[in-house]
Amino acid sequence: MSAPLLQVSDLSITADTAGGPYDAVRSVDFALDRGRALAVVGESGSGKSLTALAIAGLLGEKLTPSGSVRFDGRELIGMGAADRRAMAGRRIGFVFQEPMSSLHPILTVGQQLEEGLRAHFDMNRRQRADRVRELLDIVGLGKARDIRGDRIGQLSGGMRQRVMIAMAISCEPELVIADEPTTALDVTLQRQVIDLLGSLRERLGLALMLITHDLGVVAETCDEAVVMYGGQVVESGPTATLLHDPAHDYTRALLMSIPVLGDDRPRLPTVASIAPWLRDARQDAADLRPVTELVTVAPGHRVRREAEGVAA
Amino acid sequence: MSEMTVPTTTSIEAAAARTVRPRLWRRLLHRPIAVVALILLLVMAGAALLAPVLAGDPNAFVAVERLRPPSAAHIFGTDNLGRDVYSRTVFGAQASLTVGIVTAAITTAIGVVLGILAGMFRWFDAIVMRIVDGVMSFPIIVLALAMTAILGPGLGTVILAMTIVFVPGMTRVVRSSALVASELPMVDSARAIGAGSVRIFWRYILPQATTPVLVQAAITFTTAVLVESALSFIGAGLPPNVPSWGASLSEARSYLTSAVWMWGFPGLALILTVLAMNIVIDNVRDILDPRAGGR
Amino acid sequence: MLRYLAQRLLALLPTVAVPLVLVFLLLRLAPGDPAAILLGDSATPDQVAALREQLGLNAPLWEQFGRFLGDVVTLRLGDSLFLGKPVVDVIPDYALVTLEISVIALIVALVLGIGLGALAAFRSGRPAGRVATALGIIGISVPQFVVALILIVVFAAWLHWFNVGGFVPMSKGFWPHLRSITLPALSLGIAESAFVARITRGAILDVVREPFVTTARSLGVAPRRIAAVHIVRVAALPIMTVAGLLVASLLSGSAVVETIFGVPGMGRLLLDAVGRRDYSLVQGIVLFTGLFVIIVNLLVDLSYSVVDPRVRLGRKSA
Repeated sequence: MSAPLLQVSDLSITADTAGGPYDAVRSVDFALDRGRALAVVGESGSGKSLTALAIAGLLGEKLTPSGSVRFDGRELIGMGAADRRAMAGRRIGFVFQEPMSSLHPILTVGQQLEEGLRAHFDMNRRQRADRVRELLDIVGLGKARDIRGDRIGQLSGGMRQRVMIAMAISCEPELVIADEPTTALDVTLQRQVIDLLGSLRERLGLALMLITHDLGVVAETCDEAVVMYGGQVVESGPTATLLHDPAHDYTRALLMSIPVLGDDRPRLPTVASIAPWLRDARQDAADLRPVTELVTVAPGHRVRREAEGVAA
Repeated sequence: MSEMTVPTTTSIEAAAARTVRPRLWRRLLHRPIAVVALILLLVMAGAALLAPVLAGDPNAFVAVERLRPPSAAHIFGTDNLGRDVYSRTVFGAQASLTVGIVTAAITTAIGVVLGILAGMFRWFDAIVMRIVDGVMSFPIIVLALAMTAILGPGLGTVILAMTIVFVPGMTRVVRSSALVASELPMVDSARAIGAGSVRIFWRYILPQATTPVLVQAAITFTTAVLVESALSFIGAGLPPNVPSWGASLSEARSYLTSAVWMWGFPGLALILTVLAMNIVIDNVRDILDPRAGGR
Repeated sequence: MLRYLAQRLLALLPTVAVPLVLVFLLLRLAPGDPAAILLGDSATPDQVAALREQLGLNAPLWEQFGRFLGDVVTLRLGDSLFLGKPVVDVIPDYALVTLEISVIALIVALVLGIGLGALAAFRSGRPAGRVATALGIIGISVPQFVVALILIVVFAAWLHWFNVGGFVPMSKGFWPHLRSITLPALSLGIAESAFVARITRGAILDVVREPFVTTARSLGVAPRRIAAVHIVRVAALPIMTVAGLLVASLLSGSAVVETIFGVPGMGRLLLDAVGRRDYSLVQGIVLFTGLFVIIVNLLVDLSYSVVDPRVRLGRKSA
């Protein structure tokens, strides 16, 4: 088996806040092979979106990544801006969560779909137009009516998300990172988007990194999953294993909180209340954090456990 | 899962009030430029209030002492009639700041009433806002001059004209605060537990509007000071015996290079007052809405 | 498009209506007989009575207002007391001068202001940006006439590049004419550019934070293109929104600046009219000023709808 397309090792992200530096993401490791799908699961604030942005090179000014992110052998952390730009869109595509605000309000759909093409290819007007038509066709927006001249405000939510996806794959990247692509959608649209992502993966041989908190989506689309909590990886492994035989309490709690048909309990179970070292923003609260490490319990299956023989 | 006590709306708003207001002041005082600006404003206010104590008669002149540069006797020099520029500047502070504050106060009073009515009653909003917005785009000095033609020059006319043009701005601020406040979930919950309209207005809507109104009042103040000085400059503002900064600048037109102190000091006083207030306004807005990134 | 303009026109009508109504009411509510006021001290009782009849001052207020509106619409604005000519004949020449100076000032304000504001936004945090931001806040604290005085000291008194006073009409030569209006136009333009700079800076900073800018980055779009295409399209809107206020400010300022430089524009005409109690002229100038504001605002709205076509489509995209 060749080297993984994406290898994340010891990735940490530090935030420059008013109260001092804060470790938003600590020591994240995982790998993704070509053509495979990986889910990064967690609740809000777990650091999953930041991890995705760090890989894509889209972190804001106050966030500094450290560690290693190797894409096709090249180290992304610390890469120069021009090289990063050359890769953005062309080799790594990104689908954002909220298409209404992530798409330009005034530029037309056609204009926006061309932006990636303009940045990476030397195409003339006709070629770009052809490619745009092709992209709309691929995501299933080719038949109904020609939306190239429309503005995103004139489209429905589902259509907007498809445009977002079309933009992400416009330059034929090898990896697509999708940050909660289904969260803002209703159930029927979620179905469509998941199916679309699946068919695109097959058709284009894409590797997919899916950020989500929806375990149902994970079960359907992803071969492997990484569970994050409090900025750290708490468990990672094949999806099937995580769903049926989770080793970490948090993963178990997540699974138990999924409502089941026929459940007649008066209250849904909730996940354990917030960890003390996250609730308390003081730096010395970090002392409350138990010392842990990732332990391999089975081939490809790792769990975070309290480190043996180390006092808290 | 631990139990949480359900916070009541009163305790939330009380907690919010306790934190926002003092936090604003504390943060403001941590910004050096804002502190300097506040001190400057205090100095100007002090000058305005204590003018008779701090300086002699601004209209007293000694013909022999015309156009003298700054000296021990006249620290800002004398003007073309032999009057003490320092005294005229200090009393000018009194004149200009009074006009500014009075205009801001009246504008705020009227604007708040209109704004709340517009926010609470749709029909009022539809009719009155149209009219009010229309005046906003009309050049204020033209309006002030036109009114001076009919009502005669003087303090009252100037304040009236300025109020007419500034009220729309305040009304809009109050109106949008009222609208935003009335849609807050805490208002719904207050209604749900039976709070009447008056209580809702008093306890929930009014506090939300306080800071935007204060900011807008400050903006009105600066604009009023600038407009009054312009009107006094062309002779259509305060009466001639009142030593406003605008008038002092106008009197210096023939002596721009020969007696720089004559227009330099009043001009500087005017600019610094307005600048100081603008700096405070900017810092307050920045603290309240950091998203704007130091605008 | 036509419908949009019509809507905007309707919305702008109060801009001319309110001041006009104000003038109408003030004249009739002020102490003294309106007709006597209009005709001045030298009028005979017969003349006053005749004018009362003509204006229908004996009729109820509503009827008077109807007549007044009729007169306004047909441009029967009376005669200027001191110039002896109909108001509608007097004003246009002066209006043209003010328009000319205002347009130049507007261009200066926009070019200088947007440039400074963009600098402040894109280089915020760095020295150039900080200086630009500082200039912005200082600029709005300096009244237009002080800017004029400073320009006079620097360019006329020290450098002797220009003369103060001595307006030269276009007919006497293009370049001399231009020289005579440069300082007045610059004074207004520079004074207003600070306001434009601040708005521009705020608008750009707001847009830079928007998610769609991150999307552009995710596609590898070059920063220059992001700024020029993605950001400008959206940042232009708030700038155009305040263009209306900008025009009002320019017209206000022109009254003062025209006085300083001795330029025969509408502002100075108004000041003279006020001084001489020439009410018909005052009334006419108020009307013309309102029309000015409406026309310029409509032009701005037109360009607004070009930059943001959503406006034309009636905002069903929100």
